[in-house]
Amino acid sequence: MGDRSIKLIVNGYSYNVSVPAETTLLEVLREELQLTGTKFGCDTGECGACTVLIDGRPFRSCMTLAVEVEGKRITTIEGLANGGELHPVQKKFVELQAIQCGFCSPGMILTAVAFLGENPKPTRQEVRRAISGNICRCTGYQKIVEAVIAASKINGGGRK
Amino acid sequence: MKTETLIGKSVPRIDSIRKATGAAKYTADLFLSGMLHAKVLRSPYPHARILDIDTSKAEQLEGVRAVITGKDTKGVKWGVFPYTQDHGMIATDKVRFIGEEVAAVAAVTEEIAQRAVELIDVTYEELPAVFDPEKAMKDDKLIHEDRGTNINVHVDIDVGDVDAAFGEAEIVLEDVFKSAGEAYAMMEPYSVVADFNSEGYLDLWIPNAGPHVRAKALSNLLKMPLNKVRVRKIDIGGAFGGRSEVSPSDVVTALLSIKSRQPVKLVLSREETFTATRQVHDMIVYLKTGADANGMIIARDARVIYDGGAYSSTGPIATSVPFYVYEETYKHPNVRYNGYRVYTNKCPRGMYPHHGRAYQVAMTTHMDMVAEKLGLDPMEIRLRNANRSGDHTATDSVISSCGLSESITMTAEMSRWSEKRGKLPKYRGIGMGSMGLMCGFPMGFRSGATAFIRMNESGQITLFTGMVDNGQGNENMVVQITAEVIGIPMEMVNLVNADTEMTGHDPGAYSQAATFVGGNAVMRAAQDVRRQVLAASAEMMKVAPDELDITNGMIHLKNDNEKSFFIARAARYAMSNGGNIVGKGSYFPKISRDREWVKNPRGQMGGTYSFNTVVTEIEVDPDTGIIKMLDVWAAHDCGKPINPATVEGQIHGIVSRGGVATYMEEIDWDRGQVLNPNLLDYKVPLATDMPEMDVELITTNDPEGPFGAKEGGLTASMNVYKAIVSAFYDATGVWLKELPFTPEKVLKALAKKNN
Amino acid sequence: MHLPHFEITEPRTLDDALLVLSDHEDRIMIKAGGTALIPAMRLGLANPDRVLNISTISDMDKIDRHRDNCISIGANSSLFQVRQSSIIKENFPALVDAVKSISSPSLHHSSSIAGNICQDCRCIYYNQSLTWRALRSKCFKAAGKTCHAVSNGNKCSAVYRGDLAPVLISMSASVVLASFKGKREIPLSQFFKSNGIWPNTLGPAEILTEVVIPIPKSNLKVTFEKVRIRSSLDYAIATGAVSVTTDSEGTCTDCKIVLGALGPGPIESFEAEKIIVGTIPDLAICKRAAKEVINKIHPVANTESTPEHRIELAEFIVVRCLCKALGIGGGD
Repeated sequence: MGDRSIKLIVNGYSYNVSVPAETTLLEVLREELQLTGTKFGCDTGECGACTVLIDGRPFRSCMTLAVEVEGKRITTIEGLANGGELHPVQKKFVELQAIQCGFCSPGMILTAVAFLGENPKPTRQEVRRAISGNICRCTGYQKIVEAVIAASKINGGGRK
Repeated sequence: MKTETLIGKSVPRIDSIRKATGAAKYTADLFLSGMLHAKVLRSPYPHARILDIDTSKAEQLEGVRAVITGKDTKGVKWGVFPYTQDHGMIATDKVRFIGEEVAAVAAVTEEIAQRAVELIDVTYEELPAVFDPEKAMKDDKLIHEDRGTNINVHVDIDVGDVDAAFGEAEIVLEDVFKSAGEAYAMMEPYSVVADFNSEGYLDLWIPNAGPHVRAKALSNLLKMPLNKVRVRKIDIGGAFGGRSEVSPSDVVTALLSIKSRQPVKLVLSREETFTATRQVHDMIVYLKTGADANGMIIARDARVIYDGGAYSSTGPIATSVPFYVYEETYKHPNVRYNGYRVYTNKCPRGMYPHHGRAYQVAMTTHMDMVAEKLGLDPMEIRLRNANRSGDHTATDSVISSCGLSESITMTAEMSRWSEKRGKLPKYRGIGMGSMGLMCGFPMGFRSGATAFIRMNESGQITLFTGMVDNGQGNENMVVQITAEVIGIPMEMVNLVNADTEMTGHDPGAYSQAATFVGGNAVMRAAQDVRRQVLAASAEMMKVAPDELDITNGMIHLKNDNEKSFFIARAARYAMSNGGNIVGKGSYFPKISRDREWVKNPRGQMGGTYSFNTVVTEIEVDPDTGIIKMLDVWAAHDCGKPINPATVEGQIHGIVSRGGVATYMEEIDWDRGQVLNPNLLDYKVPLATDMPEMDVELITTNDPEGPFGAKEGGLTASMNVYKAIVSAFYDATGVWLKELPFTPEKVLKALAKKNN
Repeated sequence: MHLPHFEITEPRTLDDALLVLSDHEDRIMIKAGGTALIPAMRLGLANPDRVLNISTISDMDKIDRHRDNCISIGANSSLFQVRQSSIIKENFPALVDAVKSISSPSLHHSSSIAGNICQDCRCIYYNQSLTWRALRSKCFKAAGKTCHAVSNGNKCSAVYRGDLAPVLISMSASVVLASFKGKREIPLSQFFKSNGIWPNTLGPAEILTEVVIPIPKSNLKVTFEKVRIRSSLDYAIATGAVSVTTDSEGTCTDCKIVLGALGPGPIESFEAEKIIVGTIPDLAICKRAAKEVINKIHPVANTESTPEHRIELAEFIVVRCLCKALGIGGGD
């Protein structure tokens, strides 16, 4: 059996791609669609840099097969801002300097967005737990926690 | 003097929007037309002679465009210094560590490249390997036969009269301390894109901490003129000292592109990043300390062994820096230091923000032991031994500005130290670590920086600087300085940086020199532009330049904001009367020119020094042995923070890398093979492992630094682990001497004490 | 690098899945959430010709009352669903504790309860890339003849590091295994065979479809403890659960003590349980039981911590779990 033709809905656009079953969502996003905001960090699900939202929930695209997400709503970091306007979580990451090298930021931001959807008014400790599967080597997480809390205080902080 | 408007403000960083939206491009994100993919064949042996390499089957595989081995190199060996050139970048005669580059393939897909690599036949003759540096020092198994010894570097410093001082000492202590090496674990796996074009130019995109230094190294290694090797701007996913030097991957990718005449991309796996790029030294420290009855440390004798891995890397610097950061902090009247960096059959070891952790722990622990014997507060003994502004170090550096004592007293207040030390409940403790650090160190003519600025006819400017940003905020720092100096909003500043074709030299984002040296050059270039703008405006207005000022891009008479005009008019006036406004600025730190790490370790080390103290309160779980930091207080003398939130962020990160690492991080070895080459088994701290942190910045306004600024955060990393050691003693009454303090070591130590 | 090639089947119903499974027994592997299988394929530890993606089976993610006194958790229920479920929170708080302790919350959307139970044993010498493992001779788990964790070891010492199995066994849970021939329900304790090479008895044509847990009586208390190096993401270096039933006098009438991450499967210590049952347990008795547990565990050096340390942790976990379950002070 050869490649499978599937339809993906990424950031509101639909794409037809033809891939073999073993293709991960990360590979399709980066190599086929050239949406390189989703990062390759470890390829074994340990770092969280490749996190994307599937129907609003966080998934590691390196452990998700492309054929599994056919027809599902995929949001990558490139699709989070609404037109020119940053999502409240992005806005607060920028304002409060929760970003240093930026390599973990796409996965971190999307994890935080999904989490605020589950828990719109979290405590700092809850934020820490929610993002504890996303590794950041630069920030010590302090400003990330501050940014997520600040975003939760903006109307629509939980918007996805 | 006009009031500063931008300096000291936590404005959002200019690089953050592209990083928050996924628009930032890192090396692996580049897709050039016709681009090939590379894979590397690596040594499966820690030590073996290469008898034969047969690449014929790989070459014949469909889709393969180039295959290279050590024979394709120019036979030039890499070393930071002429006397440490020992690394061929692709092995030829021997392999010296598991993971060493033996051959590489470029092919149309990664899968074909991988298959081709597997088709390369290498015949090895296995040689006895040595992994323990103390055994390696006995030299019965030579890793580099031509050197005649496995001692890679010996740094010998002897100041004062150490033996006499020990004779006078009231207290003499002797102990052995050890530390395991850590992994940099930057989130971006190492990647290179090389594009050799038909005009003979080699363009390279590489995660680096100094593009100019990298280009020169590659020009030497590839025997290409420097102007043909161009390291281009790219976003970089962390460095932490691990991306300062040229890497074999750079050479491999460049050679593949040269051979195939196509662009080539190499993306290392996470495992390769752990096992085949430089990581951190393991260390053993034999320390003898003598103190007088007042708690003054009057004698030190240290024998320090660094496990250097198979090649020199930054050897002489790595073997010296731990000594210097200590002498920059505390008085050192009589000291003997013998640092040995030793070859072993491991991937080469490099510098890390808290490189030398066993040494600093040893020095501080002995200080605390002296305090204990004399009934002194550990804070008090630090203050007594602390350097102050104007002090000379043991090797003749002058400390120009010094906020060390302030940082000690400030963190003591922040943490309510005197209410807590020795008074917390069992298994809770508080500890303090202090350290000073040179901003920049001598690198010959490379120690300085030059920046240029061009103004267009609309008054907007473009800043050209070699300054690179690995994530620490350097790009924003130079734009903030430029906008402030000229008197324009940051949005009017375009930045071209970290590109060797378009920028002047910069020493790089390591050695803590970015703000102090690179920032200084940028400030001077901006001053040059400002001077020219004011001169043109003064001519237009027929006033003297010093009667004018620039605010928010508007030129006006001082004390009169009413009559003003936009800076673009001055730019156009200048263009009509000679040409574009173009500014240039250079800075070279006031350092000793004849200092040499091994041959002449004396003279001014850094242009200035920054200081920091960290206090932490920890809890030790006596059932599991797990340590947890509950609180962290840090006070940092960074001269003057250009962007306080950025400096805070640096310190926050360092508490995780230097602090939590104290009880979690180590590379685990088994006969030269790394047992934990992934982000699950290697313990990079997580959000739930981190305490809340309280950071204060101390302003000392360094006379040389741009706006008084010095280094911004690294110093803390030398402190937080010392604070933890000290806190652990406060919590348990046990001195731990072997880092990391893993739960099993903690439980063993507690059991030993209770028996 | 792409994963090695495989075909995929995405059945809509259990029957379809079982049919495919019986047709391809040898070279097919089941994928639920994918958090175990895909990294395993990435490392060359699994190399199936065909992947059966059971996450597409509808109706296999229900959590509801089953028969009279049991709750059934569908195999595909995600850990997120389990920890959010009000039925689970109400009846099995210790199970919620265990779920919360697994990896990190953001991974709970992809991990399923059955996937967690059916996870393979792990070893620091085995869960490595193909290139990494090629430097050593093949170990027992890779169909070879050596063990790199135990010198001269004569069997596989890989560790079962699942957190749910011990707590579910302590709650007398059972699992439903379906095959083309029909369904069988077995106690979860019998599902495991304590073998590092493959820890469970799931047949090649079988799918675990349900976890069934008896609703506890009010005098049953279950507690769970886990120790890991980092406070999230990591596997346990030792984990365990205890259930105790006491009568109105405070006498323990039933007790289960089950440990995890200390051997090739969950380890129940019947001898330790006997020490507790029939007594009105105090701290000294709990400590005696914990000492007894140690006789049954033989951890080896193949995780992030040393065997000695993990034995100490096992003892601590048993005492802490017993004390918490029995309301005895001093366990903390």
